[in-house]
Amino acid sequence: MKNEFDLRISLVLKKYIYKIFTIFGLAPFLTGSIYAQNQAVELEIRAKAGLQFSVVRFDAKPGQSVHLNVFNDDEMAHNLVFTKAGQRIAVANAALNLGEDAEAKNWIPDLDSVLWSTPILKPGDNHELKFTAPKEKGIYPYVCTFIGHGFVMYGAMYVDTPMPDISADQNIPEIARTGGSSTGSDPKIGKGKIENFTYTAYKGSWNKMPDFSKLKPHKNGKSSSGIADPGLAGLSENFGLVFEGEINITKKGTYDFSLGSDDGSRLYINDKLVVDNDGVHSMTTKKGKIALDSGKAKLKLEYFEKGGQEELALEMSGPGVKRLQLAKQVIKPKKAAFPSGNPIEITSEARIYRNFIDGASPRGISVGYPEKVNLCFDANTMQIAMLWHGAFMDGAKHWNGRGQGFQRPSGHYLMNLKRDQPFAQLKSNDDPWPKAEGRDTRAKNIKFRGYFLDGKERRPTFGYSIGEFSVTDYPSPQAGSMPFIIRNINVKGTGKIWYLAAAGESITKQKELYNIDNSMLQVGFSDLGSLNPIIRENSNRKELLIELNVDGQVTIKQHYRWNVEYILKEHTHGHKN
Amino acid sequence: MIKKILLFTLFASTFLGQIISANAADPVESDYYQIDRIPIPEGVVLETSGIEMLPNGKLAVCGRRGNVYVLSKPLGRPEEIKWTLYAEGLHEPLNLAFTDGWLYCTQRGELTRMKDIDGDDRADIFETVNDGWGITGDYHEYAFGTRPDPNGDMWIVLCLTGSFSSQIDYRGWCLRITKEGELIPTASGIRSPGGIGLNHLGEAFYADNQGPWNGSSSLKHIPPGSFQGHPGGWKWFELDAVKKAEMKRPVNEPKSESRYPVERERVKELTPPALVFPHGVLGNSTSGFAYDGNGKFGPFKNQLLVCDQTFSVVNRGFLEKINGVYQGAAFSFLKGFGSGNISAYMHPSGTLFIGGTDRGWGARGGKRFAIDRVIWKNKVPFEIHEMRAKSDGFELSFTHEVDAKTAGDLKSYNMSAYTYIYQSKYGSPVVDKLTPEIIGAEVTGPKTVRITVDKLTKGHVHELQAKGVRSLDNKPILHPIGYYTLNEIPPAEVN
Repeated sequence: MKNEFDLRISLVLKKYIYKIFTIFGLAPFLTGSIYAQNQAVELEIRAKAGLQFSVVRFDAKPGQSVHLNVFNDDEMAHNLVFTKAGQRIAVANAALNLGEDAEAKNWIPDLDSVLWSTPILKPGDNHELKFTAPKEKGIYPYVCTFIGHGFVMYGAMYVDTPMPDISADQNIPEIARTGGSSTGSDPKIGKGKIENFTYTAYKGSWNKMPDFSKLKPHKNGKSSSGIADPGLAGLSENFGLVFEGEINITKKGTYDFSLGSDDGSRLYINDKLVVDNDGVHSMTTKKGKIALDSGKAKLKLEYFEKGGQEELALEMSGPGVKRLQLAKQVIKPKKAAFPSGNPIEITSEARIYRNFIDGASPRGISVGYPEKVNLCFDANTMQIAMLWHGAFMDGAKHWNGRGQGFQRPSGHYLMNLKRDQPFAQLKSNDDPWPKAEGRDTRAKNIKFRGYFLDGKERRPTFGYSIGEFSVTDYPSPQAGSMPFIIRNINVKGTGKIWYLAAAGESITKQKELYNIDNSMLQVGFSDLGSLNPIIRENSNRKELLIELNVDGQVTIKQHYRWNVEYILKEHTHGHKN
Repeated sequence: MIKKILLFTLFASTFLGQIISANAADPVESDYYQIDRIPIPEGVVLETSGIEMLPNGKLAVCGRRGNVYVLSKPLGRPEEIKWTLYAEGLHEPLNLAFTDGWLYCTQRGELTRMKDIDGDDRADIFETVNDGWGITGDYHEYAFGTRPDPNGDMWIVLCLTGSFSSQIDYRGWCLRITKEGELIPTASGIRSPGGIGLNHLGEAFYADNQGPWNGSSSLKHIPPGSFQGHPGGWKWFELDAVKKAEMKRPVNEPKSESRYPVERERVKELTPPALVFPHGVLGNSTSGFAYDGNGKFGPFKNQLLVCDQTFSVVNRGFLEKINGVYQGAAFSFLKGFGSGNISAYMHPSGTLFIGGTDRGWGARGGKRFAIDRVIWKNKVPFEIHEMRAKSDGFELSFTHEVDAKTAGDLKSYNMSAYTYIYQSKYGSPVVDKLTPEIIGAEVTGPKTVRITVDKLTKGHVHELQAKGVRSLDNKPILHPIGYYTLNEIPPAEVN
């Protein structure tokens, strides 16, 4: 069955877009003709926060001109690269192995499988990409090859190939398949207009849609925008809204309505309940349809919000109407948006940001590496508290006003690690590990010595001592298909000491690596020599430990890697920053 | 709006005109001291919080964003000074001190020393000297430090958590860190410091800001073992290091809504402020200070030149020790700095560097951050050089010979006295106002005048206005008001 909410709509010609934006129901949608070979596909693709393209698939005819305007709306750099059929992952991986040449080459590998590409687009940049669609039919991927993005940030051009239902399309990211990427900002959705539009707001807390006719209105008014917007209530929690008006139907036929809301909503057309999306729930979309005659149809939309996030989205489609927005989707962030505006950019050298970092103790030392992998070393426990990819840190929180609060890392693929101290002198094999219970817990019997910066990249080596042992701790960033960290730990001294490589609810060995919990984190070791990592169960958790018998010095090379399988799976439920 | 301002200006000038016989020829500060703003290169944000000279003659300057710049030829033409980034990523450092080949700085969580080892003018080693105090992540948990004292120790004052309570080790304490990196708990009772430094004898003084247990911002002397007024951090008397330092919790707790002299009787360790900078009059937030140790900066050798962040000014403090307690007089000194002054550094050549930022609290200067340079123009302003307490009044010494007629005239002087409530509530109004009667003004030397009053009040700020006094060459006093914090009344002289 044809899905009216298919992103195929993104292909409409600009002149038609204009019309559907202005006139509801009158745009003459001649679906067939817009694919005429002699007319260009004109399309806007935007790189969005959370490693997503705003358009994840589109159609083109063999030999058709394609004019793409690629915008970067995100806070980090992106590109867009078309590849030959089936070559997306290969190209993305090749880009990651460009090493030092990556920037100069715009992260585009010298491969025949690369067809067309934009340069690296910095935040706010745009680039027009024009090419002629291949004569050969097929599914041509496009992908951002900027560091590590290729696994999740991509789409596909269908050349003379029928698109499957979007929910079953394996050529687009899971997040787009499940609709999780919808942010309401898709420029290809036409703006509808509810005429004679009034709203009435009510205060109250409900678990089910109340009978608004029995309630005393909090406020009411008219809106010329024609778009049902929960913001009109002027309330953020515990409120209800009833929107009423008319929609103009130009063509008799069956119309589909898609109603998404957080929390409940109900749509009536001509006094008939068309979509019932009642109840307290997160953003949930339900659909309904109704046959309508041409002329005015009466619309009533009921909505209530109990607490937390609030969203409302109503779209309609039908004869001659592809996709029209009738309600504005409002996303109230769960957390206050973290301040930005002073990004600490990493170019050729490692940089340090020592401050109150969310996810570490107040003695967090964040390090951003040119390899686009970053970490936060916690000088309360001498442990790596966090690892992440991409953008490093933003100083805005601490560099404006009095600088209150803990700043979360920028970037993506953030992993929060257990911050328990890395070394301890256990009395016995079942002696519990000293744990970092609170944010301010400091390592017992361990002294932080500081760090020194080395090499032309000025990467830090941290130093600390535990009892009579002295430790240097050098995280070495590794460029590659997914950048990762090798932590080179050198212990000097004499005697027995335990090293905690990881802890979690579960630790499972997968080939050479250990999966920690159900998370992105994988750890492993290289050059183990006689060292023998063991997994022990203690204090209701699993611990990956290495017993060290130091006589002079011992070196541990621990890998901290991102589990790509996990990331791909996780992205079915939305990008977690 | 414009009308209002005009009206106000008109009113103000008329009003002031009646008090001071304003005269176009009257001297102004800039006749004696020149303030030059050092241009900060485009793209550099340096919320100046620490200034120190390096052995190579360059000036190291740190800022609240964690950066340290090195300025070449800091005494040269301001626009020719070259800036290079020496270090970054430090956690809100609030002082710099160079010693033993290392540049020390106090970060929020530790005393650190850094060094450039490969000669590229950028620090490569950041060594933690001591991080024995706690931080919870509250922005108020500032840490200020000094240069080494004669013993080699660096003194560190730690703001309370949220400036109200002590949530983690040593918040609200003064610590010393020895050369070897050992932490010595030194004093309790700190509230919200704005700076700490050493006087010419190597004794530590710190600025504490108006708030709970601090009626007005002030500069306080820190004798080891003392209690500086805010009992919020007393729980740390239980720490082993405090016991080892033989510091004991005072037997009595201070009572709120009291006065300093009363509580000093009850709490023996309580050290009263040495210099009160009357709130809203001389400043709002006392911060760092410097002194001219060799007299190249004019006539105020060894007096403390104390910054105020909000007012963007530098005040001047004359100190003396009476009955073993520091006290003295505060005067206005210089205004017109670029931003909210935090840090002061006196170069041996007699050049004063002042830097700061208005971030978070605002400042009159108007710039978000600045670093200014002050030079003395080799002309001595007519000022009250010293104001010493006597058993029955004060002895004034002036920087120039006085006109005996006006200096000996009772009508040239005016005195008021007042104090602040010592209380757990935030700040205090001015209370217990008195008007000591000036009963004598005897010119005792070419530059000295002995003032006698009917009554001195222990614990009060004695505000002396000497607006009628002229110099021998008939100039008015540039800053004719002295604010003397009278913790102790000296005994009558035997002779």
